[in-house]
Amino acid sequence: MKNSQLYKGSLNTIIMKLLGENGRMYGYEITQKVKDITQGELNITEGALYPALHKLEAEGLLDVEMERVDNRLRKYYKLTESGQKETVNRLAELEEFIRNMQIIVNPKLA
Amino acid sequence: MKQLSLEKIKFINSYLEKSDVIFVDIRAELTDHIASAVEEKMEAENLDFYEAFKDFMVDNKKELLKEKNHFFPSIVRFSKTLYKWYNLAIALLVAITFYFISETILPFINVLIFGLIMCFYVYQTASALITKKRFAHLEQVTFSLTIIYFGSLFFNGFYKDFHGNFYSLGIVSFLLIAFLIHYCLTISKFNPKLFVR
Repeated sequence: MKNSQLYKGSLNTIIMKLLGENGRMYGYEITQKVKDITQGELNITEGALYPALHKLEAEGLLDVEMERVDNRLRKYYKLTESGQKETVNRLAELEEFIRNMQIIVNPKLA
Repeated sequence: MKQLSLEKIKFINSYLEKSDVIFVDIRAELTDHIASAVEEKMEAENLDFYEAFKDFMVDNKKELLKEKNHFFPSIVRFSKTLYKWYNLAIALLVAITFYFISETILPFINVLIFGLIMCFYVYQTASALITKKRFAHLEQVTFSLTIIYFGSLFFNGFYKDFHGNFYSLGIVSFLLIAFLIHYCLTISKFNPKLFVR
């Protein structure tokens, strides 16, 4: 990930937001979606994405579905009920974080 | 979009297997990721499969294989199933059954529980050795059984040293039944046979 230290803490929230908006997605689809939305500025690496997805799944925030697609197995992720609630909380936290950072970085604009 | 043939998918799978990605389900996920990326590369840059695969792996192999065999042991997903209606019904059934059980039979039930847990571990180990396939999801689920096992040891004691009661044994019995249901549901969701090709 570009500027990895800055984006690291937000990765789970980014994943959950995307899944909240798009229903179910698979790993590669998530990386491409983020790349498209940020016009190539943010590139989620596989080494960051899959551990994050597996951890969210282990925490019961994501559910998975396996399907045979194009000669291989595809694993789709979607938010569970508790995942949907948690997404709202995390987005609120992230928005608060962005507001506070704006105050610190640009106090005149705040 | 160019679709990779089964032979090319098997090539990717075999490459990952030789790169020590030991869990079948993690390997399947990475295979799909690589295949999707390679298909896109072949389309965008007009490359053949091997060129696109080589280019992709040169840039991404390190990241792809970074956490290749890591999974998160967790009891969270199992514990959330305890509130499902079928588990609540089982809890009620176990409670009623234990209400009518004689105290003299409790040590025998304790031994039976340990026997079932040991049989399960033997089954899972033998299954992995015979089929030479390990599934991260199933091993993650088994972590919950380990917690149940040690919990039972603590509250009920080992087979000649039974010091539990109706409640502690009833709870462990319920958790064991709930675990077996959760394990079977996990298998049905992932259907290990899907991975065999």
